[in-house]
Amino acid sequence: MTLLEAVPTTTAAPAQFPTVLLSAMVWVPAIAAIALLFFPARTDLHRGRIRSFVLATTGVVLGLGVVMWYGFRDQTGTYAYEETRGWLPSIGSSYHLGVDGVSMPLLLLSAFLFVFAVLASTRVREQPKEYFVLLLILETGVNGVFASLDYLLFFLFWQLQAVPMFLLIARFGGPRRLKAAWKFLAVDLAGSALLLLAILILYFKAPVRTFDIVTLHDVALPAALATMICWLFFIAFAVRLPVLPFHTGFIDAQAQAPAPIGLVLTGLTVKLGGYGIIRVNVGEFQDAWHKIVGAVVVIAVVTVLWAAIAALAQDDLRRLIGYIVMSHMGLVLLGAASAAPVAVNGAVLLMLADGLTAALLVLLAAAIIERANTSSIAAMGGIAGRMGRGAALWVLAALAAIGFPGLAGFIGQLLIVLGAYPSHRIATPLAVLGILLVSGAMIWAVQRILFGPLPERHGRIRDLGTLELANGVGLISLIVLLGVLPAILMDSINFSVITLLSRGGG
Amino acid sequence: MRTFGNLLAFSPELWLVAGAALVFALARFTSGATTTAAALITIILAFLALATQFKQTLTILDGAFLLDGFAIVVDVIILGCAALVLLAGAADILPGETPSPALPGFLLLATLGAMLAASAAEMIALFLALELLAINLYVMAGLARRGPAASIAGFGYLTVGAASSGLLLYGLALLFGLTGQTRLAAAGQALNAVAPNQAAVMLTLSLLLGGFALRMGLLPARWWTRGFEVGVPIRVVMLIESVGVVAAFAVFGRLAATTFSSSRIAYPAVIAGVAAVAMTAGNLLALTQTSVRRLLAYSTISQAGFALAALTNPKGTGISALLIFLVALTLTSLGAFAAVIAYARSIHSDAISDLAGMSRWSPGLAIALAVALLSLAGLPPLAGFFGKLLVLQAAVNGGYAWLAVVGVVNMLFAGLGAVRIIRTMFVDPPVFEVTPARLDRGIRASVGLAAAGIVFMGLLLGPLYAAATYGRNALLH
Repeated sequence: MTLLEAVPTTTAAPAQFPTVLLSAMVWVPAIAAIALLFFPARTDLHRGRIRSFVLATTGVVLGLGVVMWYGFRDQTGTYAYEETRGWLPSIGSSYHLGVDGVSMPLLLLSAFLFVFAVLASTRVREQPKEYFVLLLILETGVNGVFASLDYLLFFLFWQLQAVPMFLLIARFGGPRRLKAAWKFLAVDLAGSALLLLAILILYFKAPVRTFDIVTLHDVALPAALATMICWLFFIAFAVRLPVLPFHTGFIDAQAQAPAPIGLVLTGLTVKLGGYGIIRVNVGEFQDAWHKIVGAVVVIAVVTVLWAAIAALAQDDLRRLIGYIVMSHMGLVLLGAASAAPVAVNGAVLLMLADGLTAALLVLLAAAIIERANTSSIAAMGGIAGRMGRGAALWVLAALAAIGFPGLAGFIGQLLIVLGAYPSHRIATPLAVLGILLVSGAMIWAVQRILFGPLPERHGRIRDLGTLELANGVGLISLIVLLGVLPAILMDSINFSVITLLSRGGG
Repeated sequence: MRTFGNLLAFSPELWLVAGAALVFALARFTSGATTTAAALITIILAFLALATQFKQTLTILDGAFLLDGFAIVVDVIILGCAALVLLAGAADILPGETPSPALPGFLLLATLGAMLAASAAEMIALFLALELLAINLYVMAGLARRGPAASIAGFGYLTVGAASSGLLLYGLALLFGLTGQTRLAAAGQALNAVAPNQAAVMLTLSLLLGGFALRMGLLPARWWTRGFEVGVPIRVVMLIESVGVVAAFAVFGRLAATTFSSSRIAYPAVIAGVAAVAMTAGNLLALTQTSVRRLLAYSTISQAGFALAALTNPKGTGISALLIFLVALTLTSLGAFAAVIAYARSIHSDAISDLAGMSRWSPGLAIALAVALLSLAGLPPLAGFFGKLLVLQAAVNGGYAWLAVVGVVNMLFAGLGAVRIIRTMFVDPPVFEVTPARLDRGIRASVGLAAAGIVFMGLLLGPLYAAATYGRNALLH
């Protein structure tokens, strides 16, 4: 328990950057999306221009994120880049943005992944304008959730993602896209309704009429009420995570979405669920959270194990990745449930690592599926002989996903297990069993895809192209960087997690 | 002299009268475009005249009309709606149809009636103003010149309207009988002081609610749910759904806040019950429709239910929530209807399934319609969401938390219904080749204005809410 418990002391004076950087990270994509509506899209030249414009936009957002990160490292207060403007004083909602060590790394992850998503969107030939407008709106939604410190604002950005995600899957996805998109939307809207209900109950029952997360933290609620609100928030976030009974929408969507959207879905959208649990359930309703933690741990372990077993039995490559991500999110939930600093640190780190590895896996899987013309693992085999670079990246990605030491996932999983074990002595070993099963599923899949005899019809398979290779190498470098030097993020994450957990509150 | 001394306070209304007279004169020898332009200029002049009266409270004709902050806020909404209807309605022309150039004149008179109704503080003036509005709507519905089916539909509207006027008149007569007052505020005080038979007061309220049901859009009125090329033209439906609904809710809001709020009956419970039934039934009806026009028609029932929900708390924030909701609702429904007019020029059909692939043949229009439908359902961060949020807040503050739960569930289902249409527009391949028709500037401007308003209303909510609160405070003193 002493591993990371000490609050790091900062000596350097924090660099002061204007708070508008955070607003810019949220709104630049939306403004670019509106501007994009006026671009012509008739010729290939026009379409190329649209692509470059969107790439430049996500690049600008990434640049802003990196600059923010640079100014953020030595942060001392609870929230950095805090910006409060009057918006709806009459109902107690304000435009309140700010980041801490939990949201800032995830925001940075979002900025990176959207650049990779745009880079990977070369297959969108038809109606690129529509596609990129929706993608940019999605980025505003994701970044906005990470940046919001006001429940109403948080909900608006949360809900902003539903329809673009639906249209992106339903319009540009695989053969069974419509059913998958509907299922995802229905589950997502139900989750959003619960979220709105939780927020409204909190708003109306609190003695101060405000939606402000920071203000509401200090408000005392009756224990039973707080527990109910905590449950509602948990279910709303768990639907996104996804936990066991709600996962089919996510798995189907992941299998049918176009690769870049699958990347956003597994890399970011599900992470929002984990982020919500850490920010709201663990951070704001800690006392109530301790009361429901027993049930949550059961849900987490069942999710980890079920997803691992489903991954073992899965033949569809994209669905396999979905189950692996789901299993990891179960671990994140276990870490959040233990509410031990070490485990929560691990949960944040695992979300970052899993975001990167899932993105890499989705891109590589899409590349292989496109070439082999099947998504069935059983129908693949021996691809390593034809795709040297692809196979190398695939092995690295698989190692990252199973938590190989030296790669990002390892430290996250280790911290969660170390942190959760003292308080959950049965659940944690079961979760470790889940990690082992996932490793088995992953290694078995690698063996079946890459090695063995090459089926006849795969004779003319190509290796990865330059852009695909660059994407893969970019992601793998981030994974290695995070695995070798977790300290670049760990100090800030730890500082904020300790702040989050030591504030108490109910 | 004292009686007419304040008549200048009617200057916005007088501009409308003069404009209508001019339009009727012009209609004898010019085209519809000229009269439409004249009517638009009249509305702008009326708005400027109204702007000189901001922040005043004027009693006109011995208290028959009370131009207070509430009336001014409602008048601004009504004039905005009238302008949008005028802009979009001019494009609602079927092939071979030559609409009467006098139509904008009737629109101005209907607007006049609505504005008078918003400031009416006395029963007789109130009824006359509402009838002025209604009669001009009957005329516009009957002037369709679209063959017998349209005339039958117009006549149907006249019949239902006359019946609802009858109910309204019974309600007002009973209120007068119970209190001996024709002024709304004095009647409220008398209801409190005299404390008449509570059952009679409840009957009065029920009759008034029944009388307003059609005007508020609470009734599943059959007359416009016929096929697309028959029935009442959309330009009239738009006017009924914006100006008419705003006027009806303004009058009922004034009644609830000044007359019934001091009575002892449990009137919020009645309103809450009607609201819950209306929002659920309207939604269920809308979800099963196969045409956008019918879907919009049935969804107005649900919207009226939401607007009524605000009146469960007339003493608190209910009135300001109602005003914001009316702004959001009119923007949304006018945007949706304008989009329907615009795409009907291209595909001459009303079935949702014929909208397949709309994003390919008319991407801008598809986005505008999608935004309007999502806002109608109440999905954030569009105008409809903020309107509904404030209404539900008012309902919860008034002690009707269950109504808010009904509302949230309805928003969820309406959202799924809206996405169903959006899927057709954006995902499905086109069922037939469509060559998009050229649209004139008026309809393009109205669709664009409404869509921009729906998307950006959230940003302007601060000043809007300040204006609505000003109106509410004026009504409740």
